[in-house]
Amino acid sequence: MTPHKGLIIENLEVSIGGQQILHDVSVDVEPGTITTLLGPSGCGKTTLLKAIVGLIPVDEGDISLNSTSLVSTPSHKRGIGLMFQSNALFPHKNVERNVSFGLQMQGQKPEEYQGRVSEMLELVGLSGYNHRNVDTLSGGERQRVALARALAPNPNVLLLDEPFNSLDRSLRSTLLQEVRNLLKILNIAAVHVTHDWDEATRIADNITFMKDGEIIRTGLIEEIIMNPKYSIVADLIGLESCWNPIIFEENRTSFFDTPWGRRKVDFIDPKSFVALIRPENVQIATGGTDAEVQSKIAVFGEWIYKCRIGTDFIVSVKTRSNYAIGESISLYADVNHVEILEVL
Amino acid sequence: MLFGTSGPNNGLKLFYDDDYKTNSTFAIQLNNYQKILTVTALIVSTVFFSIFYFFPLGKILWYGLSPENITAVFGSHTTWKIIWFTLWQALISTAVSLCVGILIANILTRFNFRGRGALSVLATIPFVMPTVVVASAFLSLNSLFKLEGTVFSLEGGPFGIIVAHVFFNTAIVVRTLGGWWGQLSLDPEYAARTLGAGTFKTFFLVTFPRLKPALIAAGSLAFLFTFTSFGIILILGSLKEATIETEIWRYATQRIDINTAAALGIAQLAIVVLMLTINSRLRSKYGTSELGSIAVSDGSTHTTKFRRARLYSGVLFTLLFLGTPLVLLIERSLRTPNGYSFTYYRAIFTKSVSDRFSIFETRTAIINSITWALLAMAIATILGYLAAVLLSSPSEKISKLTDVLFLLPLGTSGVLLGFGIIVTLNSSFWDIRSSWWIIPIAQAILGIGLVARIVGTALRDVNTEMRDAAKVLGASDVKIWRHVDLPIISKSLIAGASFSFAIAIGEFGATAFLVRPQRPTIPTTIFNLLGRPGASTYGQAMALCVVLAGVTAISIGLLDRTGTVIRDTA
Repeated sequence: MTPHKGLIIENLEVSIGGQQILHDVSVDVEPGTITTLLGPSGCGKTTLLKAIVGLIPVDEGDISLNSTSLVSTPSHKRGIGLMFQSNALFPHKNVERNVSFGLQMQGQKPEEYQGRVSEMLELVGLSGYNHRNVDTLSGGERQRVALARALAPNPNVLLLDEPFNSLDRSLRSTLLQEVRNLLKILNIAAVHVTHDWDEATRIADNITFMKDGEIIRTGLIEEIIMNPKYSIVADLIGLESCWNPIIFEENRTSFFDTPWGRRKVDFIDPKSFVALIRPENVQIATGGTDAEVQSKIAVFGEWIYKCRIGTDFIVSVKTRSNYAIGESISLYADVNHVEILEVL
Repeated sequence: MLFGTSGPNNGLKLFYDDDYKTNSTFAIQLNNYQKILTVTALIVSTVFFSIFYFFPLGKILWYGLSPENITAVFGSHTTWKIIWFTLWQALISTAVSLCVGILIANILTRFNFRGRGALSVLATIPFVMPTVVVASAFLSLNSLFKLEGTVFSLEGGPFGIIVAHVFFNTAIVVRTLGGWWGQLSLDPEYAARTLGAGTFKTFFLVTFPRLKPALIAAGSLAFLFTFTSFGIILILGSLKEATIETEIWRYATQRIDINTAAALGIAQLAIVVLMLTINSRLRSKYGTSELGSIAVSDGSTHTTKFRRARLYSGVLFTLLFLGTPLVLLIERSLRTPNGYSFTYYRAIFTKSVSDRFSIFETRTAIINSITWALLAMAIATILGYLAAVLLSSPSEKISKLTDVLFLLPLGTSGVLLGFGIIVTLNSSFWDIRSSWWIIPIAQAILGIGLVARIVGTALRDVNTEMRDAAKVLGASDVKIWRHVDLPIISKSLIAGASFSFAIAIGEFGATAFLVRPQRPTIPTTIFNLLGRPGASTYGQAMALCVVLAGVTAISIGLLDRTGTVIRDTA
């Protein structure tokens, strides 16, 4: 890792109530970039955010910003913003009082923060909402106020803890896009937490996968898509058609069978693995293997069929043609397109 | 738990429960059964309250409101001195109770530690303790630390009264505040911290304002109890410090000056009504929108040295302040001139032959108290249920009217009620005053309001859709009540019953007016024993206090347990 002025988390160990939650976690967030932490619920994502912002103490390791360690700084002096899953607006304060809270904490008087508050509200598209009561706002508006509140004190880093989970899908994608644009305009680094790959791809530059309190994979979105490397990553990004192959040896070489022939296992391949064939690598063609359509969903104008080959082999295939459930089709795939993913 | 879980049916929470109207948005369709129930409830409660509450209270107004009387009483400097003392001691002890209550509730809701459950039970015990018991506990504290004659003397001055009231009210505050606080999300606090607010700023700018509705509820309850407190002032004030409540009693029973007592009663009633109005104004101003609409945070709070110091000092303070008087009470009841023994307990359970006065007949007192409290509980539960039916009525007219109707008895002091009954119900051919059954009725009236509010909240959980669903599935009106209404309200019904039992058995104000020397209750006997010098009578008073405290605690514990069982098997 090269030193930079962003947020650097090194070898972090965190436990709550005697139970270790985070194991040797290291994350690098370069200035102005957005990193998404992706993982199943209970993997320690939120704990990591709380540790970064100082709401939970760390046992080992370091958190630094601008090359300064933050570990012994109390949370209210870290200059890190946080957006909550519940918007966590102050119910007893109006919009302006909520947004100006951080500025007031810096000792600013109303005449000093007035301009900044209006600027922030304009940025989030809520100009003129200053004196509205937060009870009267819709879910989306509340999260916009929460965003304005978090950005107003001009934090060095903004942390987003599944902030739009309670909103409906289309509003969520719009807001994610807006947050990304804002963060880029203001050049603020961010760490965003989610369990949803779709949400991650809408906002992130980098993606970091977490499982059981450990970081398992980090990379750019395109790298992850090209090479998920681990079965759990494939699962989280929606590549479902994996199977556990049966390995056998012949002449000191390992193989497993696929419906389209034998696949060799190289000695560099991991010990415990699953096999994956992506839907776009499976074709419907005569002379292939017989399969029966089990279920289907429509995605972006195309069908993805789950088909059964033999008694229990399931494979997905993507096509524009329509087939009925239960219908027999013939599937072909190149055995070289079968990928091997490590099981952790 | 002492009163069941701190769920939405918590009795004390009712003071800030504003969800009365939620049902009115549904189509109002009462089934025949409900119509009959509502009409019965209306008739029964109107008749009962007219005879035993409004008629006596009206009579007090009648006696007190003559112009000459008003000018005589309120033209007197002494009257204003009494009113002033009553007000300031109530305000100070309310304020102190709120501060102490916030500290303890904070420890109980925002910290995880072993023994938290036990501490929260300890923090609520004083609330169900009869006032004579609390007063006696502080008397023994006074003698143990030899505070008599010093500025900190707990007897004969305002200091002891305030400390005892704080002890008593802290439980109310912790109870009311704890339920609310525990349901508030931690996220706004976290947000404040990430925005640069330190521990104190976070508390005062974010936590405290969100606690306001609960603080208002707790504050009004505490004020009400302190303002109309009787036993504590009578015993710890030793007649040197008088409040409106004790003066009503003194004028009515010792000076036989009914007019002055009535005028004081009117003053008290006026202040109570004013207080209740302020409370309901504040309640509607601060609303309740936040409660229940937020996700409860995981509560993973971190332990810094500062937090740990706060926790330890808080726990220690709670144990000392709330535990010492109770432990001391037991110690005093066991200590005899010849070492520790059960002498006093044996004495109170055996029929006395030596005492000439039957007012010291402790065994009779115990039997009387328990019998009457059981009767009062039955009356309060039945009438309280009927009142709850009216409170939760889909007709806004009925529910609003009953809300006012039952809030008043809740705020009426026992002394005023007892006084009202003796001046009213003594027609020459049928003297009710000498009938024993007026005692459980008076005790019941003081509990009905609470039962009604506890059960009313639960009844509002049974919505029209639920009943319709049962009906569509083939349930008759009676079966709907049996299988839908009853299981949902049973726990609250039992909680209400145990509360009304506790109120009745410890009731001192009204009872003090209505008991005859040959028919004592435990609280009146304790009071009489305390008034007589001698180690033996003092020891017996303490032993009787322990018995009273024990019966109260056990009954609430038992009823609560059966309540859970009934709920689970329903």
